[in-house]
Amino acid sequence: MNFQDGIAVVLLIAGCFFYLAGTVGLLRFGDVHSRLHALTKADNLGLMLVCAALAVLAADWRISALLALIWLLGLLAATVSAHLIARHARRGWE
Amino acid sequence: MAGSDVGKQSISNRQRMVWIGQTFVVLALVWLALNGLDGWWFGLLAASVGAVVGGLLASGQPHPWRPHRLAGFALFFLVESFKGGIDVAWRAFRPDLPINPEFHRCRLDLPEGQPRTLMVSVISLLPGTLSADLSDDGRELIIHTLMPEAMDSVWRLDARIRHLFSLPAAEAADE
Amino acid sequence: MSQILGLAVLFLLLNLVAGIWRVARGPTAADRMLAALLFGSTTVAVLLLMAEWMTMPALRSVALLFVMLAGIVTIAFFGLPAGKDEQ
Repeated sequence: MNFQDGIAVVLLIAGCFFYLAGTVGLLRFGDVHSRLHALTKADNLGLMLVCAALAVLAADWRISALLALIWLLGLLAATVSAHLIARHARRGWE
Repeated sequence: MAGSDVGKQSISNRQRMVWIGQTFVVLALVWLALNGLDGWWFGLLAASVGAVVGGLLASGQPHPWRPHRLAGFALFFLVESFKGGIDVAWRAFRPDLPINPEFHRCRLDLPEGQPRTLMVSVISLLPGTLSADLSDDGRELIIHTLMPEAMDSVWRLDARIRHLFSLPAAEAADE
Repeated sequence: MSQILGLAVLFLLLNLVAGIWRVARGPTAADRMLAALLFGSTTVAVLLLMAEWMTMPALRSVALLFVMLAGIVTIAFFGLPAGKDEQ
């Protein structure tokens, strides 16, 4: 295992840790809104770290750009979804 | 009271052109990332059509951002989302669950369009804050926080967004 | 390296299984949508890891498509906020 792989493994483990944190928050927090906090923030940090690990492994600018794009779109999907879910949880079902 | 001035038609048209140009650059870069230089002419065509249609259909006033300030904003966003993730992970793993959920109302002074949309979206990724609801007129935002002190970062974000879009600074109003 | 990637995929899938508990338990419909959010972000990471692990670059395009659909699904489910076109 070379230096590059080492960095990727560290990033990957950190990413998995944040995914775990998101799930733990999802299961432990008491209300819908707090669970949303855990999911959006922890999972997106997790996705960012996993993407960073894969970009280091691939060492190719095209793949890195694609990974960055996927991360940004995931961020967008997560914030929009979080806002819509939070709004409906507050207002109730119409 | 920034934005929505009817009298400044020429300035707003110029802003729309700048915004179309920026959208074109972003779309062309996305094409480049996905396809490389294969069929570049088709990518340029698609990016132009996307930018012009987007610029014409965009509701309200487009607010061009300053490219050299985007890097600063991106860095701020990265640092804050790291802090947010670490903070919420720490709270999830602590046996005594140190969360104190509350709703806050705050008035949005940012102009309609991209600045306000960016604000509402990014709030959910700052440490301890989540944009939970927007009043129907779009002037009042309801923010869910995990701890009372989380509201500070909302005002820092407001200042950052004003800087990015070159908007005048406003007095913060928390109710 | 490939074992580590495989372990990461396994770990994320186990995460997903834990999330199913929340879907089953609810209690509200919003909680069930939360699980959909979890599925979206985890599946994207799994697809990207598998693209590298199995050297199947096409899976990256699947992930890109998936992440776009994840956003659209929630919007379709809840609808956009009303009153955007007023003024």
